[in-house]
Amino acid sequence: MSCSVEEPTMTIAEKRAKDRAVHVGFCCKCKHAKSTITVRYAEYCETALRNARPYRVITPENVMLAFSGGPSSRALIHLFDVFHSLPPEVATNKKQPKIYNDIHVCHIDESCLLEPAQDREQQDITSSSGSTMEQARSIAAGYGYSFHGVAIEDIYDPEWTDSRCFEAVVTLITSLPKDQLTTSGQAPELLSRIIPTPASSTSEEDAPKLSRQEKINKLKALLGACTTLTAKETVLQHFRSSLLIQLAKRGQCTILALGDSATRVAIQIIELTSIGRGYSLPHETSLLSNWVQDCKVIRPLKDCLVKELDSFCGLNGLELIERHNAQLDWTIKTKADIKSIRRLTDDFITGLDKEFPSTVATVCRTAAKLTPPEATYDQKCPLCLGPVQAGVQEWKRRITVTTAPGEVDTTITANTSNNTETETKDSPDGCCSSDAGGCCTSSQRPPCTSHQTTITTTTTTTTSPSTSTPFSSLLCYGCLTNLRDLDLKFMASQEDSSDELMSSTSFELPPYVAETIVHRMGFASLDEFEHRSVAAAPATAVDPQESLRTQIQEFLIPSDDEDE
Amino acid sequence: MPGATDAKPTKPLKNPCNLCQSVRAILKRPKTGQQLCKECFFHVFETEIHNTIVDNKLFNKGDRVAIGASGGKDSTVLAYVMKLLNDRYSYGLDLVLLSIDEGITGYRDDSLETVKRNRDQYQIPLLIVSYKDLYGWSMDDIVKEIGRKNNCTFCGVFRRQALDRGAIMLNVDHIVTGHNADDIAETVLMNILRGDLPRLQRCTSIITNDTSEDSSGIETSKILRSKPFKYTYEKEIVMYAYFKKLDYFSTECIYSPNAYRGHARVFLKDLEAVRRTAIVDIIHSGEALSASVQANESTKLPTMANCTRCGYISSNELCKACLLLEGLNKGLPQLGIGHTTKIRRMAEAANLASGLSSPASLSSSAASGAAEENIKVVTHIKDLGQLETMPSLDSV
Repeated sequence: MSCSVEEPTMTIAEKRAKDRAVHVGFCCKCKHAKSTITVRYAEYCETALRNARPYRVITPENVMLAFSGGPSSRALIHLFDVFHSLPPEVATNKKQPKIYNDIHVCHIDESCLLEPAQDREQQDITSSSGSTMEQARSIAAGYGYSFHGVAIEDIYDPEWTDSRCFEAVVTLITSLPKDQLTTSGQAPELLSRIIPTPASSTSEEDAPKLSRQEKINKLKALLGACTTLTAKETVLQHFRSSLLIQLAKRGQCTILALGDSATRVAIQIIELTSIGRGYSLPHETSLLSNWVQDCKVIRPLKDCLVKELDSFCGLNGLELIERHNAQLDWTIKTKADIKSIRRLTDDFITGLDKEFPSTVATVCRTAAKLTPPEATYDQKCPLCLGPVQAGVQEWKRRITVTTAPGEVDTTITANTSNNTETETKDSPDGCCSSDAGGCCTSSQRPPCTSHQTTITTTTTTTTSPSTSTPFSSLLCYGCLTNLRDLDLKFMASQEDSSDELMSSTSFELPPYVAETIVHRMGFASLDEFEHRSVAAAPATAVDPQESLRTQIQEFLIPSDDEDE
Repeated sequence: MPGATDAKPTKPLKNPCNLCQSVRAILKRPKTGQQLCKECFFHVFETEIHNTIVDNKLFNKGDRVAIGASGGKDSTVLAYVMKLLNDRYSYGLDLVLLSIDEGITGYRDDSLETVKRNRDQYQIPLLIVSYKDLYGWSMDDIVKEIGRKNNCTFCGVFRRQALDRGAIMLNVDHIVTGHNADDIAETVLMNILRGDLPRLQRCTSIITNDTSEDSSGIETSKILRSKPFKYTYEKEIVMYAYFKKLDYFSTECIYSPNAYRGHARVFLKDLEAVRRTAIVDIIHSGEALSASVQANESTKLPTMANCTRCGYISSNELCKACLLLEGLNKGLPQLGIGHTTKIRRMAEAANLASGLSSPASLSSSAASGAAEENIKVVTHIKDLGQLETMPSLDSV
């Protein structure tokens, strides 16, 4: 190609297009109007160009950017602005479709978990000292994005659920007496109780049911019940995810964009593997995840190292929010607990990357080649809202023996996936006759409408009416493992009387957990769940295979020989 | 989890065993944190392995099974437990010990003495196969040639083939190895870190080399390999060996310190200290990831063929062992490690340039000399008749 400064030269492509052009000087689309614009070596008239789409977009969608205040998400906001800005001549053309429709920014204020000492001293809890909300709001305003803010403690507000008003929380009870549990070596089989929060006197929907301090207390109680830092961090992460999804849905956004950097994703991959979350790993680390219904989760910065994003913010003078992440160090009592799996993994990957610089890239590439599992969103885990693998409790039981010599282990042979207590104490049903409408794998009812119920599900005993709902059997492997770190003394046991139950229960799980449990059991709404016939059958879902087995148990010869 | 303290008023036992409640507990179980007495520990340990064997249908009655025996704690305990379970539950297996002599002075020769003692103690016949006999190179020779960086690769590849060769000699159906939960967890992490997808898919399988579904018609040894210790913690194996007073050799291989696996191991130990179930959690994650890899059609798993030189199963024209061996024999120790074609090209170029029949040395200076010094160069492994001394079954 010659390089003359005086006149523009034609490239080969242009020459080719010129040769192809039949109607030179006329629009190639309508063929009769004079052409005024040349785009991609083809000529158009104005009308035709207006209808031509420079970007391959079918319908522009709304995007919710998750902004924590750190460098990665700050860069995300800035980059979206850069990417989304159209050149002036196109922007003025109102009929031009945009890549994205509206861009929203959301922020989760975690200041209540930052400085507990100060919080206690201050009378006015609603003061914004330490609150990051205003800073986030002003940053978003700088770009003209709509802002949505929520505080981490709002996870306990019934508003932040799919039904927008699910007024119930969950307490957990152990299925066996506590002293038996501590020696069993197994993860305790937990059952849940869905407790309706007291119905408010006003019917006003806007009136907050719980004060901010009450919500903070609940959150801290739950975190306090986790004995390890790992469990605390993991639970908090689940809460964040739940809030982000709700925020995206509230903002009518079908896309949720997270600012995860490559470094973060690589650490996440190893961390998730280490806590047993390999099943949901493809969803939690991919560029695009379709797991959540009606909400695509994307990680556009997945190929950028955190150092690059940090520099990007610095060079562009982008302001960050200091101290935006919950610091859970205050909850740690002994020096030994200071380590969490996340921190260990962080140190490990960062250290390894120094010695072998391609570590982060290789790890991300490995995970990018994983296919997400075949699981449906309907059957999501109540705690983390992730995919649940079948038979996880069974798997756990098979590899850890917990019976003394000579004792017959009914749990291994019985192939239970449900609450063993219900089976032994209640008469087995013929088939899926439980009021829940079937076993855990049955089809779901349509999404719920708002309701006000608090159900205290006690574990099923022969005497008291059965109002307990399963919990451990609904969880994914990662959550099952995580909940081993819950302090048993904060939970009542199935055997306790109802008075003991109320007094020893000292933490609750948020409304979204209650909502998911109710849905998993086949009820469309809290109301329906509360008004199910309590006397008829236990609320726990019964595996049909298992109930058949219990009927013929006496005729089965235990097989402990190895012949095939 | 905290152990139970004084439990029953009628039996004021201090610290009773969590399971039987009848004897004082003397140990804390690494896997669950329970406080157990010796008998209960033996019971849970042995029963878990039995469950693993049964649930995964590892053996058929009448199978001839070779136990890969290195003399270390894993293989000693494996031999002991296999014999115990075989007798207790009547698996009907014909057990033999198979040991590989890599030729590492100060390490392998000592551990082989341990294996010989095991043979006598457990009354199981033993066969020892050596690298020197099979390949013409001992590990000492190899390390002298290539230094300490990639020697683990050589040893691993050669050992795998050697085990198969030995198994063929012994006419067994099945090889069991002492890979424990810690090993498998480490391997899962390593494979993720190194981006090795095919290995990631295979590493959590308890039975490997199962070519029953493979209809490509290639010749395989059809000897299954399994890991009965897949869910057994390394610490528990040590504990078992200790309480049962089993005889084993406990030193690290002298050539190992710089392996990449060391990083993963340190990390795993840190994880275990934070959460004792982390090892099993990683294995569970690994199993899920394996299914994910399998489901991904774009992952191209290599098609299997037979090595053109020795007939061993291989994904390339030459199996890895033949490739490495060729490299060693020609003084090209980089062959088979890293960019094989590049090295071949460079070697050929050097050949043409200098007109020499043997290529110039590429790595260590001692490399070129070593090839000629080797008297017994076995290039065709299949032809066992070349071996002057055929290893014989060292019976009891």
